[in-house]
Amino acid sequence: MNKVLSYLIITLISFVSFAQEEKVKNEKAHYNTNKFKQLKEEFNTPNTYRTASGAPGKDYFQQQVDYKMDIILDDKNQKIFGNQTITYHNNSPDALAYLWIQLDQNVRAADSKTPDIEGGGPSVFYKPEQFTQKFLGKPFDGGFKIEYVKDINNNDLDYVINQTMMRLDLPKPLQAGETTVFKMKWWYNIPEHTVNRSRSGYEHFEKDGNNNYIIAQFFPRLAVYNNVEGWQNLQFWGRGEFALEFGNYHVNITTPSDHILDATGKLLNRKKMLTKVEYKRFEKAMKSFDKPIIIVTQEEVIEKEKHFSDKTKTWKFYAENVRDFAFASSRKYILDIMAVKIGNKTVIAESMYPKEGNPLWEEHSTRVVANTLESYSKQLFDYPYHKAISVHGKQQGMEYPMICWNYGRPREDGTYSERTKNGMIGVITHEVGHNWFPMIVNSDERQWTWMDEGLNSYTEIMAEQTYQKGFPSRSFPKNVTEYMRGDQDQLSPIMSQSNNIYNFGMNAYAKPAAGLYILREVILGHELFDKAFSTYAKRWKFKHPTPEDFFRTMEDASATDLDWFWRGWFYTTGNVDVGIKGIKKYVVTTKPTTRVKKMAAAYGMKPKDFGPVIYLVDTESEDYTVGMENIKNPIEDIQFLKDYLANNFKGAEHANLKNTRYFYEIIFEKPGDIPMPIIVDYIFTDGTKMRKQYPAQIWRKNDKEVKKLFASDKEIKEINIDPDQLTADVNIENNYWPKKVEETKIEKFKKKLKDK
Amino acid sequence: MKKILSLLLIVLFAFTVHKYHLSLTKIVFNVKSNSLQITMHCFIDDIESVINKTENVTCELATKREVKNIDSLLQKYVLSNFILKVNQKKQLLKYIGKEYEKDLIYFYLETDSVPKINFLEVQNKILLNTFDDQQNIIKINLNSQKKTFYLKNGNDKEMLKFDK
Ligand SMILES: [Zn+2]
Repeated sequence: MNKVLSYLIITLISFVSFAQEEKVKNEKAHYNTNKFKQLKEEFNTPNTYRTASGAPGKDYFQQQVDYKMDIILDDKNQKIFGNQTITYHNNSPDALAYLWIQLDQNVRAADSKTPDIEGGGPSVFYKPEQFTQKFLGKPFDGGFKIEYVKDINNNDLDYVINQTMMRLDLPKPLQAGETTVFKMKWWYNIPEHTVNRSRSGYEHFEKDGNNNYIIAQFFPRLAVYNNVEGWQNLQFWGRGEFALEFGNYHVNITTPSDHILDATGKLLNRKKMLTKVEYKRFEKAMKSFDKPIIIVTQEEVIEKEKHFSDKTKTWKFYAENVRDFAFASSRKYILDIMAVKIGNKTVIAESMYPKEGNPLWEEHSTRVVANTLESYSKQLFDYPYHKAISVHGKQQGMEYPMICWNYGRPREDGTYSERTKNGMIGVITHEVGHNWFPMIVNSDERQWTWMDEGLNSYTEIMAEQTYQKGFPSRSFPKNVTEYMRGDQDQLSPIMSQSNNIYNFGMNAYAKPAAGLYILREVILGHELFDKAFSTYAKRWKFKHPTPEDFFRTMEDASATDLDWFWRGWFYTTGNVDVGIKGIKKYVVTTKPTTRVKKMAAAYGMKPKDFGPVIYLVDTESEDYTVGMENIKNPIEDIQFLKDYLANNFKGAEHANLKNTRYFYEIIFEKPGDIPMPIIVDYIFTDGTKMRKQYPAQIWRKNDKEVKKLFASDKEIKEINIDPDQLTADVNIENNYWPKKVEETKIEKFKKKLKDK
Repeated sequence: MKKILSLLLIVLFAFTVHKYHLSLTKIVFNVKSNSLQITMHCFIDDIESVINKTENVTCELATKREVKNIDSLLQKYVLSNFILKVNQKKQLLKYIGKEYEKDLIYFYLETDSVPKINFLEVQNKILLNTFDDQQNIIKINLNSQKKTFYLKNGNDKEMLKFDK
């Protein structure tokens, strides 16, 4: 066939199909609703602060806030007292007339509006303390009691408090590049976190009369000022967590002298705080890379619990470049430590827990900390701090720089279920993992929960699987399908502000994590994904990334357009459902088909003008006649094809030609909204299998249905879509050809009963 | 922050909850027995907490620490919360049994032989009292008609009309 002719045929074909569609007239116009449309309207315009590639720009800035604090923990009355000096560095190009300071404890103030925004009827039950607080006019008297705010010359500064936010008016605006220093004195009643659910507080142990303090959000902290939100002074309502600046902390904490305490930062006077024996054990632990060494033993703790020291001691800490500070303290703490090699540094992996946590804690906590440090360092970047601590807190799971609280309490007799054990391993991995997102890759949690919880829940899966192969991780794609096909009224896009999310755990933890898992397993592959994901983490470590910075970096670092995926998975409430609608079998013939006759006629030609050609005929079409299947091996049975091959291929090359003789047209359907690659297992009658993955872009012109020609030297017996359940397909009934008629679960169960 | 396993998670703040509350019920017509067959599943720990509370027991489902009469407790709970009416007549449901699969519990129920179905009313109150955000999904496959709907607090039943 000459070139002109083939050109003519191509234009003719496209003309014919165009003519068929021309019937539609006067329909309403529409904007571009294509699911592969770029996210130009959703994304902020890139600028010199944040580049189009997703990296910090040349004018990127962030503020620095340094704290010097003297803290007293009053164990008798469960109060905490603080005296702090704050140094605020204005690195922004803007002059600031006032500063916003977060007073998170006010969420528990007697007049807090947090309970007022919660609808709904009565709780399932009320403990006596809860009933008294809620109904008997004795609400918990929480919240900061601010004694003063002064400048360094002891002049009172002007401030106003709006719930959890304090506006501090500066005597004169703080110019770009300037620093201001001021002092605050405060105290508050520590909440009992087991009564009033809170991230921080104490647990009282009735049997021995002691308390376990896990203390955080305990001091007035500066709000973030940046180029995206200005001041991030959205109220703390209790859910959307924290947005914080980096800085250096000098903190002295005074406790009863029989407490064991640890906190964010370097403990500067460890030798003085520990007994001689304890310090010796600590030195030994710093050389123990294979198992934890117990520094304060259970027997020693049982003895301590019987007393209550009236003497005090002061723990001294220095923390550099952290976004927050937290500590835990109790005379009930058993303490164990092991050493972990990260790069060429030795990091302390540590646990503090009451005897009520044993034997579970002694067996697993510190080992899980060590595993998490190793796994996350490999996935993202080397852990930059010198230690990571897991503290036992009933019903807790909460993260701070270098320290976190975790649940996992055995029954009173010391036994525990698999569920408790796995829950504890999962939560420790998760909370220690938060050191990366958001403690170091410091996203704005108040606005976007998924940026730390989602990314961390993904990284957590990988760490759990290294701790224990086959660990029941909760955020695999197949774990989110029931949630994603739920009632649309109860779904919100991942890109929603933290306080306004339905199904918080699924929306902000599991779904984004499953999305990243799909990106790695299906869309990008391991190598590209790992490179891109760690590029994001490295670019934004010790900085403040936004969602766009993440989305843009993943594309920038992988040369893969993912806008369609971000749009479907993060910006909508859609779900994934890809299936097989049908399959057609074709046979090979040299007899001209209706289609070619039509085309030739329209052009004043005859089919034979096209020269010797091969046609594929749908076995269910008019063109099909019995006997056509006699051409079993086209490369043998069609003489002109055989000649062509003989003339063009010699020897081994000829012998290795594939004897393709089965032709199918497979019709894939997509009832789900989100585009997704089609992963197909073609299973042949000889028992062999072939996996083929068609990119998501196959849906770019037809969002509902696509056809695919499949030619093979083997006959298809079965087709399975997404056989490993990697794409969060919410309906697998349409994933099989031929359709699977499976016995129902109830019938199977009835049979089982009968057999018994 | 993460899911906690205790009952207290329902109170006040849900901030440590890494979880959703959901059940899925499939109702199919079995031609052989001329009956409706019901398969319902939900999370083991959700059912466990409601049984412990309403029956004042401390059992751990799917472990050796189940109470002896657990099947009768589960049967009582499920049958009093799941109600099926055919042509406005309440159906007597047989509780066939339960089965555990990973973190899910499956309940199997079946009606006696039913007349030609013109109206089918499904009420599923399972766990609605316990969790504000509980969703009970119902999927019906009857006379080759498929229907899906969602029951939740304030809307715990649905009536369907079948023409054929
Ligand atoms: Zn978390």
